[in-house]
Amino acid sequence: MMIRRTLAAALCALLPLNSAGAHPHIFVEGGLELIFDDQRNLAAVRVVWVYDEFFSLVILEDKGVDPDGDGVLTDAETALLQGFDMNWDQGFAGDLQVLQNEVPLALSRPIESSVRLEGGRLVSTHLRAFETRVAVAGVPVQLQMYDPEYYTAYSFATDPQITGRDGCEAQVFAPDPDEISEELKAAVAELTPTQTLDDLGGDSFPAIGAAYAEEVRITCAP
Amino acid sequence: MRTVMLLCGALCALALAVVWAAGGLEVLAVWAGAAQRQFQNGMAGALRQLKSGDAGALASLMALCFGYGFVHAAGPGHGKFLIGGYGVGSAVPARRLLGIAVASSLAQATTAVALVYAGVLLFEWTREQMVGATEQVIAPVSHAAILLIGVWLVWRGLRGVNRSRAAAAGHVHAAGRVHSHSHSHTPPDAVCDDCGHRHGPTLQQVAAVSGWRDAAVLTASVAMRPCSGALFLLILTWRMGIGGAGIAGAYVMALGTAAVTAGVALVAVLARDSALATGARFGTARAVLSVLEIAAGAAIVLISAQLLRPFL
Repeated sequence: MMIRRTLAAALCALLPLNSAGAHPHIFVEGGLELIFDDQRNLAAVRVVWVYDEFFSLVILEDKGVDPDGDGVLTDAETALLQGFDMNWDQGFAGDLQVLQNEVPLALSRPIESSVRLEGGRLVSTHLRAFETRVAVAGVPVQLQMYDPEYYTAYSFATDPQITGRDGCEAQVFAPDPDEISEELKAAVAELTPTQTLDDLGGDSFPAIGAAYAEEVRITCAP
Repeated sequence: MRTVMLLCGALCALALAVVWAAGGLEVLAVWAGAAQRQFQNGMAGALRQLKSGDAGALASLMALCFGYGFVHAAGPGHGKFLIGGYGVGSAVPARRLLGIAVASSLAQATTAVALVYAGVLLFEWTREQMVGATEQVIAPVSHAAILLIGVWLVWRGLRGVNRSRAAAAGHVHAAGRVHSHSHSHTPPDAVCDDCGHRHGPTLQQVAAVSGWRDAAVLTASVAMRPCSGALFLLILTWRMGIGGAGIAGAYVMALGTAAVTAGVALVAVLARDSALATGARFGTARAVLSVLEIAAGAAIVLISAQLLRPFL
């Protein structure tokens, strides 16, 4: 009995451990531009990543640019930086997930990209096309920018832009730490000594990067 | 029944400590992330000033490195859960566990310095190669080593349970008299009034035997994986021609990390001692320690398995 309770307590302690190894090393302020075609369907998304000053400095020194440290690059130096973060591995999803009715929408690899230095921070943009254009009238689309391994932490610094049609609204929803904790407390309260973690439904504790991610919701009038 | 109640209380405190040690409190993690971003940006500024010849920036770089190490460790991950779990589940004295916490952090900085300087001077590795080696190769090896330590704690705890079960069952002496262990005035490790021999080693003896070997294994398993933040700093400062400042910064970061792990170590030892004190009132201190050891070991195994999963 005693041992069972002990193990139950240990299991309680393990609930939130999806995050055990997760600590970000790179911080990115993200931006999104949703681009619609003339059929008023969602055609592409332009992604902006603004890196933190420390990681930007790492990249500048990697490439050996801005030796005087004045934060002003020559055209040749800017050219050296192009595509530094666009060399994606085959399985890399670009840290962006777009969902409609909870179904992920397929995106192309980056079509065009650019990098510039602004105030000591690298600003990198790229464009990705939807493999199938998306009708959004009356059916909201959700976008999340996150690294499943949480090596990079994303946040939205600017409101999402909508180009090519009116009647749409973009809202940013922040993750609510209180809500995460409440969920957790409720789950712990339900745990009995005979239950395993699986009984609680592993799906309610998704990849930690997703749990911390802000969500952009695009809603267009029907 | 009362034993069970008291024990559950102690275990709840313990569970909370483990949750914290493992970075389970999401709020804390979010805060630590935001603070780390601030420190990271500040470090970039200090490094640029240093490079431009402003020697005064060294002091602010060191302060920022300490803060970075501290908040980095206050967030999830690192060796905290191992040190905390081990402290809860073993009869390790507080002072030695503190020593392990500090030594493993400093050794981790040494690994980072060795990796980066061997990388740039001997092998001409790029930053991607060094960080890649750390994240893709060294990290899973470190997680696996920590998992094995968890298995080993569980095994040691199970042995202990069997031993104290055998003792609690009472044993028949030459006179054919079965004695029970219900007398409440006898400290748990003392020779009991009427039998004249000890039941297994005392907690102190256990601690002495398992002591330094454990310390070395724990330190090595944490230290083998350098922190990416330290790698970035070392590579960056090498490129900028201020390598000395980077090495100093890496060790100061380690001190910041050690401040957190040392705190976790203290909480773990306190939680364990209060559970043992409860157990001692009922003459079950050894059984309590074994149970704690199993629980802590199992926690370490499960956490390490979680960390290993992405690599499998």
